[in-house]
Amino acid sequence: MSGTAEPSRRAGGSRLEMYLLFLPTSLWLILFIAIPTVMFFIYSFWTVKDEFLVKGFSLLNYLRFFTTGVYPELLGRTLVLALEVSGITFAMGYPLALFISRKSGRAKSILYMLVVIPLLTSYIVRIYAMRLILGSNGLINNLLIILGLIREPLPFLLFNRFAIFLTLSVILAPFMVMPIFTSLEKIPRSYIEASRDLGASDFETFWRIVFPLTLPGVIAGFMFIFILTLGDFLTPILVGGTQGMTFGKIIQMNYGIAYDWPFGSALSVILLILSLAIILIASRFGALREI
Amino acid sequence: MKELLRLERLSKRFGAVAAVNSVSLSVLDGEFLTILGPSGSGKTTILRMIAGFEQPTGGRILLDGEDILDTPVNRRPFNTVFQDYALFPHMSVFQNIGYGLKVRHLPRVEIRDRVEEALASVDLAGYAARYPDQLSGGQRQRVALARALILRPRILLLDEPLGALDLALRKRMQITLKEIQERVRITFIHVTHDQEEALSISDRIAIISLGDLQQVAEPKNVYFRPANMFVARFMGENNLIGGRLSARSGDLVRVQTPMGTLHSCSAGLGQADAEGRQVSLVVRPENIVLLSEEDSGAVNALEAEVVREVFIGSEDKLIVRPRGCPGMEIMVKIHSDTAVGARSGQRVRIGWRAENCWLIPEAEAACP
Amino acid sequence: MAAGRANGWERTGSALSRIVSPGFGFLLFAVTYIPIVLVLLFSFNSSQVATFPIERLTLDWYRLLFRNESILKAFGNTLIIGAAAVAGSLVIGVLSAYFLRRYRIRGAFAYQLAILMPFILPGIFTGLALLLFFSAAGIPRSLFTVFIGHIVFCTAVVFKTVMARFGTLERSQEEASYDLGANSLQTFFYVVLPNIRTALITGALLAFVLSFDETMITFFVIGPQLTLPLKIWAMMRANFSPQVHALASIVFVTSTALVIVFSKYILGREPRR
Repeated sequence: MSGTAEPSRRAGGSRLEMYLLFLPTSLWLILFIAIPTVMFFIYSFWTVKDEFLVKGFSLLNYLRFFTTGVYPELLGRTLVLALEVSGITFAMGYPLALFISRKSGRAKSILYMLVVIPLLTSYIVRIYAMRLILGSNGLINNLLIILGLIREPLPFLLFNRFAIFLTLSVILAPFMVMPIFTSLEKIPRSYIEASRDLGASDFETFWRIVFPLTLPGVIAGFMFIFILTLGDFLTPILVGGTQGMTFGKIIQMNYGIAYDWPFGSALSVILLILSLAIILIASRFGALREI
Repeated sequence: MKELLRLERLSKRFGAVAAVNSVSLSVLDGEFLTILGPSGSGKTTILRMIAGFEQPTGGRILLDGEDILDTPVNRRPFNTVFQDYALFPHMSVFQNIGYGLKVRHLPRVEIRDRVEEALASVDLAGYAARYPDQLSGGQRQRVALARALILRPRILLLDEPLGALDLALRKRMQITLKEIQERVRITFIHVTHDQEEALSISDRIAIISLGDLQQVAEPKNVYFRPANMFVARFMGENNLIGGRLSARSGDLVRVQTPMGTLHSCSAGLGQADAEGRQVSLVVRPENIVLLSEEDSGAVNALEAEVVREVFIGSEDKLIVRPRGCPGMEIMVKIHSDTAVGARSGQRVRIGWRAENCWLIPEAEAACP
Repeated sequence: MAAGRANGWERTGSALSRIVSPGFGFLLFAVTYIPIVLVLLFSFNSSQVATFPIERLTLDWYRLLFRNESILKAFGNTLIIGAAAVAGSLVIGVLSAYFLRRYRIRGAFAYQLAILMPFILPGIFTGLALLLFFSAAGIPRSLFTVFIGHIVFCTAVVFKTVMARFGTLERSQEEASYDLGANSLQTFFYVVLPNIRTALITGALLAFVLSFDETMITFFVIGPQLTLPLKIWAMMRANFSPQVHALASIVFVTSTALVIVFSKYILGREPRR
């Protein structure tokens, strides 16, 4: 006899109580979430002239985005980057998720913990650590030289788009593994047993039963990686050098060096809309159930 | 007994669905009333509306003549025993039972005394320090009961309290509930889907189906004199033989059925029910006997063919198919110490006396 | 069948699954952890430059670290903000979640979305939005603004964990409490709070760990006083010192230790009913 919608409303509560509970949380929301978001949008319609903020309404920033080829192209390239990162983390992360979910008990817990731990440790440290691997004096180059495969260190591993790609793939991999693992765990054992009972081979069972049921998790993984890639600026700054540029970095630069807050805001708004669109699309495929 | 609570045309809609449909019911002071019905009948919803967990979409609830719909749950002088007991897992038995007293800020000494007394009254003296997860199902149920009763509510509401117990325990608890109710003299409103349970412990039974009230009466009447087809079918196994009233004179009637003319008394018919009316003859399995070849004593006799025998130890039932209506199955309870050993397909003659009768003035298809 | 939570396909043993899966798995683990191990390694490296071969092992960098005022200060700031943000977010997060549980309002979904936004979207949005807000309101960037940024983020975390717990909590206990005569306040403290205790701890721990490492939001709203991640960032951008390795190693080890010790909570073991 568990309650449905209404019980609480009459069950000893009064209008006063409802407002008492409502007020602080709403105040909070309005002050630090609603207003800043609105400011975001407002700023995007302002402009900067000669280092001064012009508060008049103007679509200049958006026009600038759409007409200057550089920006849409950069957005496009960042999307491609996101796709690449998603692709490789999927290719490697799915087998890993599969592997862990087949384990039982302690092994499973420990392995999963190993996947999650990096997420909870310093983001900056992990990006920086990639420099130690990719640099001219880094691990890879040293290994290759020691093995005698090359004579001179390869310069193209670091401070370019490729480095960003590699770094993001390593750092964001857990975000692909986790939702896939979650959706794998949700599959009732009886489904698999039924499939085997009906004569399907292991591969068929996987392909026809397991994989389709994990699609929401896969899509959730893609969604996370896309959004995180689009919004990341630390990685390009630390390992991208001058050649590696992403949309996130451009936004940050407008708040930093370029000091054009309105334009940066406009770019952020565009990014926000894009991100929300991605979330919306992903949720159509059930991705949100896996969070 | 005087009326304590009255439900007036109580209704509850969830969207387009009417869970409870204009139910009017009177609850008498000190009685043990059971609201009985199958799942989804709305019985729990009615209980929750009385408790205050749901607001009706129509109708009123009157306590001592006063409308209580505006009174919130925690102010109504009722207490509920929940189906899953809802014991607080982080509190001991003592703290659970004393909870209602604590939130009323009663002095600790008084709380302690009353809780000990409550524990004793449900036979759980000494269990005060235990936690719910250390108790058996039956013990938890008693704690839930004590927790509600300690507050001396005017009405105790019980939502299928015995559902989770095994059969033997259940039967014992039914008796215990009845004893407690008689001892404390509090009005109990009890909701269940088990008609045997309702029959054994209630003072009155209110039968609900799909949101509509079907009949309110003492157990005897509900059992022997069902008001309509639903009640007849729901209250145990009844044989319903549909037909047309072909003659009525004084207390005796004749009913025309595909199996021939059957004789009955007129009990259950209204004054206005005259010849031509569709009626159903309600014949209880225990009133039917197997006739031997020579038997001609019974007025109602039918040729039939055995379908199967069901022997479950305490009773022996024969399912037979009457000649003239091969789609119908009639159940006969055999009074015998052992299974009769009837074979499927065997021909028998069954019969019952006209006086074992009850008529319902409605019928479905005469021969299914 | 293996004991424990066997899920029926341990024995599906095509070569594909026997070799490929574990192969990729370990590759991914290696790729993830080798960089970190390197940082750890170099933190003991005597030479200034982070290259092979490692000459001598030394604890010098660590020693220097502990004498470094600015680093200690940053560490302290991070702890204070973490504690404060978690405390504040517990209050707001629980109130918000409880409000939604008690009352059905029409904008419930939008309400939830708004609270969770700082967590769902990458930090750049929250950071920028808050930056604009503070700048327009005339609030100078400082530890206070960082505190606000963190509390916004932590509230989302606490809210999420508590809502998840509410989702599995049957209402009958709360109903019983009202039925027995308690008012909302009593019901909240006596019945609801004890039942969400585990979720609260999980939320608080998760929020603290995430606040400790928070970089993106902090990046935009930070003033002259730094938090640890931002200090590391500054050290990486400025003239290089191997102390960074030592610092990074400590941060990594601490976080990991925290996670392992509280793994029971953070990794979402089932709360006992």
